[in-house]
Amino acid sequence: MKLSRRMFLRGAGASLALPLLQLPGRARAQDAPSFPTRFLVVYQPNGTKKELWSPAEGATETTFEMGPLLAPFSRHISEMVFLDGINMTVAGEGPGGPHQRGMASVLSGAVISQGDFVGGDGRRAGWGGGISVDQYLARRLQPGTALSSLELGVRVKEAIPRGRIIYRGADQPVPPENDPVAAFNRLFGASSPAGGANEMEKRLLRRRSVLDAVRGDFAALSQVVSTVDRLKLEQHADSLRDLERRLGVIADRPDHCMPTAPQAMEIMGEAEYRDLLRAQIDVMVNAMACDLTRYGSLQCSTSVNALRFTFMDLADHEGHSLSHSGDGNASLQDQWERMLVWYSEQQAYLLDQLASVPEGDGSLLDNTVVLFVNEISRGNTHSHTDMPFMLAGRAGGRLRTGRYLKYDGAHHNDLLTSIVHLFGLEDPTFGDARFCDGPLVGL
Amino acid sequence: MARLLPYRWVTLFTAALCLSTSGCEDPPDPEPIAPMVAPEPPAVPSACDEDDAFDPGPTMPRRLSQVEYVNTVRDLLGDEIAVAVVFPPDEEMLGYDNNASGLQVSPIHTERYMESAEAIASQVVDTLLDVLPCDPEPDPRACAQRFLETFGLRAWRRPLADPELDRYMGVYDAIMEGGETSFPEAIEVLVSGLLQSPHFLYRIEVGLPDAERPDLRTLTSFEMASRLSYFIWRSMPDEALLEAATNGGLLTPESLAAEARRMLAAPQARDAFWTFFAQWLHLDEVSTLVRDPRYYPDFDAEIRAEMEASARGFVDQAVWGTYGSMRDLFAREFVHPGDPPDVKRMGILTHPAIMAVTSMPTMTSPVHRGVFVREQVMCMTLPPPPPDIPVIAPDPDPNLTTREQFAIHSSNAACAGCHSLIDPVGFLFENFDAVGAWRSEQNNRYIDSTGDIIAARDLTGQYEGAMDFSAALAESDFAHRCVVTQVLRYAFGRGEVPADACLLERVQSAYVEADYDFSALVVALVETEAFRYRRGDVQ
Repeated sequence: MKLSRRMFLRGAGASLALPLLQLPGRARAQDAPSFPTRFLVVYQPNGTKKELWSPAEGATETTFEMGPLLAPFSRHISEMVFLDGINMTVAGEGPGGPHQRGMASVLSGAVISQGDFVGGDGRRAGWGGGISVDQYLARRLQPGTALSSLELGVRVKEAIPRGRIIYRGADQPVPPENDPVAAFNRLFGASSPAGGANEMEKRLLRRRSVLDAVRGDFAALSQVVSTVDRLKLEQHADSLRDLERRLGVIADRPDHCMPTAPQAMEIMGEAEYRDLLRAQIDVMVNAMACDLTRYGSLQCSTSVNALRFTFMDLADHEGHSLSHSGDGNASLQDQWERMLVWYSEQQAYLLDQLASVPEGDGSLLDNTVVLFVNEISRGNTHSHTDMPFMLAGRAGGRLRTGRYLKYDGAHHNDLLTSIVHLFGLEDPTFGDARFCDGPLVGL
Repeated sequence: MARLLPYRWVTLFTAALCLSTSGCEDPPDPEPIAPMVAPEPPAVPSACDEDDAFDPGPTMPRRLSQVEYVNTVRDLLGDEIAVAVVFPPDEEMLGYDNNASGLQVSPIHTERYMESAEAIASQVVDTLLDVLPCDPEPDPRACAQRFLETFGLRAWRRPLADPELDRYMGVYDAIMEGGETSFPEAIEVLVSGLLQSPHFLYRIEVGLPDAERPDLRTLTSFEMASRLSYFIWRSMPDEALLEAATNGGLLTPESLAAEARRMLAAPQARDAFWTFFAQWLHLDEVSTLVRDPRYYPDFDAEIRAEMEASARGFVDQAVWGTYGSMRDLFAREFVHPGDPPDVKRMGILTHPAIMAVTSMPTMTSPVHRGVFVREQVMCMTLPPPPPDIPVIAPDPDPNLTTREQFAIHSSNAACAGCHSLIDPVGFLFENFDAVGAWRSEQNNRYIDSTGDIIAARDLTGQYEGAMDFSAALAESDFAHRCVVTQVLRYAFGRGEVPADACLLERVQSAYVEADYDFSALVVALVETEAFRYRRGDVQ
């Protein structure tokens, strides 16, 4: 199946007489895989219970049985790497509460900024202090796809630091799209005006003229405003460049990449949570299968959510409260564990879907790195030590899977560095270098 | 706006500060944990020294929040033009959706701005052509330029400079090239462009140099018009403001105060300031509040709507009523249907809406209520929990009152420090259940709603309950200074900084002198020097 190559060649859009889009970088040039390597972050909130996550005593790198919370992954063990004993040291610094700091640091490896958000320690917390690893890959590798990255969320209600994990740079949070229908339309939707190619070309020309002028406004402004103001406006101008590039690519979409649209749902409904997540997973997998994006994130709710699982018999308490329940409270802990198992089930479904898309001799999953993250390790201690990180997918053959790796307090920035390396980049560290010793040993 | 949680940033703290009764049993670690010490509230404001050089505080380009975008499109183009595109929810800092450093733009924003501008332009182009300032024949290009000048003045809230006119005429020329585009189509594209420009989407204040004070810049008349209109109306300047700006007005405190008074009298001021009050007092959370139907089976959309309308009625009467004042907001007596005949509620804090949004789905939360009062009404920032405190929850006892269940907080040294600051404030409101209904008993036990409030300046002391506390709030300098601080955050779109000390002091004096009249507070803020200047840190 030559889907992505054809898609790309058509996406270059020579017929539109536009500047040639930037070719995808090293990921394509190196190793000559027929398919690009994708990166997908999956976030789940409020910690886990490591004693039910880690394998029993005596586990080795290749012989292990993960704890009961991960039972739903059993069919995917050979495609995964379980990373035990990693500490998110960087989240120990900066203003704000542990959920805020964890969210800000988990993908950026940077210390949370100061800002105007009430942080709970007399200082006011800001946004994350650096670029997140997915955005970094997109920026460095310049994929030339319709979207340089795709951020999807499920019931991500609040636009505040404990609701954001994706950053285009320090203090530049990227909100996820919560509505599967809107996400689908953005990717696959009605981009063809009536009137066919001629009309489309005309619209493109107009849009480009407008964007030229708007960018002219930004450029002129940057000559007169203060440095702080310019930084703020530059973020907007950056996003316009993304938009302009995207307009050229989206103008031409392969007909054979037309998945079925999701059903409209109440996007902030509690009862719809499972269906929303499934729909977003499908949108993401389709976007990657069609090579509309290579760097994505799926954010399940936010830290400190007030979400009850009313779609199953867990309607009594919301997840954040349950995560805080005492270890001695068997009933509440049991409910919390069932929520954690439920997340594993959904994540396993995602892996099913990725594995179901054939690419060459393998599957989309073989050409993907999925990183599963949480902002804390354990709800009722807010700990950032011994985090529950997992990887899935073979990164086009660069990642050896079916392994359990036990670390003794390695920095999580080392893991982020390793991910960057899986994509052919050679940065010695990622994020705040004070909390990074280079790529994870043995990964 | 899209913040639907029943307890906004309060949850930030409850996460750490031992939510409900969970989390504060004796730690298994035999090492004692140092007790947290409750802080004295900071001086509010920090001392004003009139000898200090005047500093208007930081300014930043302010992106229109969604409320402002929708209002602006309405006032620019008319009621019949709908903004149909859904934007990502606005970021909120300090609880307000107009905080300049909070509001962000990501690629998805620029896409939506484009889609929205195109949709609006295609809706309006026909009517716009009706009111073109000129006849497109025989010289359509000249007419397009004239259109840019007149419509541009309103869309950008200032006249376009010559290079800007040239830039957009360049758009016109580019799309007219080849002769396939009609004049209306070209106008449509120009409208779409103007609405995607930073000069529409942001309020950018560059100002003019002040010869005597190089560290400051005076805002221009047009920048002042926008400052006024977005503060008081959350929308673009009207014709009168634009005309005053065109004539070089709006530069003296007297003229600004006169405009502010005129604007406050207009109905849109009430709608706009309702968004302030709703955000300040978390009343915007009522409409999406969830209550557990097993405990509150009647709590539905209709009740939520009534609750919100009733809260707004209460606020409007205190703020805009003929004899209203902010003292009334804190302490006006009212009768709530369903209360026992001997119960007289007092003040907005005893309104069911606030009692509901500071509760949990199944029960009240003295922690949420205490944090709400400390942060929103006293403008305090609470200290953090001890790092990695071991948290082991006791089984809740159905035979105790909520207050009795929370006693664990004060019996544990690790929790007591902060919770002695928070819980007693919340206990004052225990006569109101999680939907704000009156109760005098819980689990067949008498509810004790007395409280010993510490570290609260002139509010420190013993209270008999919520009404007693409300009466004290009405007379509290500490609480009224917090009102002024909240209005400053909303007006300037930023947190207060030490340089604001004299500004806060001056506004506070005027507000007190006017017997806590809210409009007087607004006018006093408009009259300050900080309202007319920005820092001189432009290039």
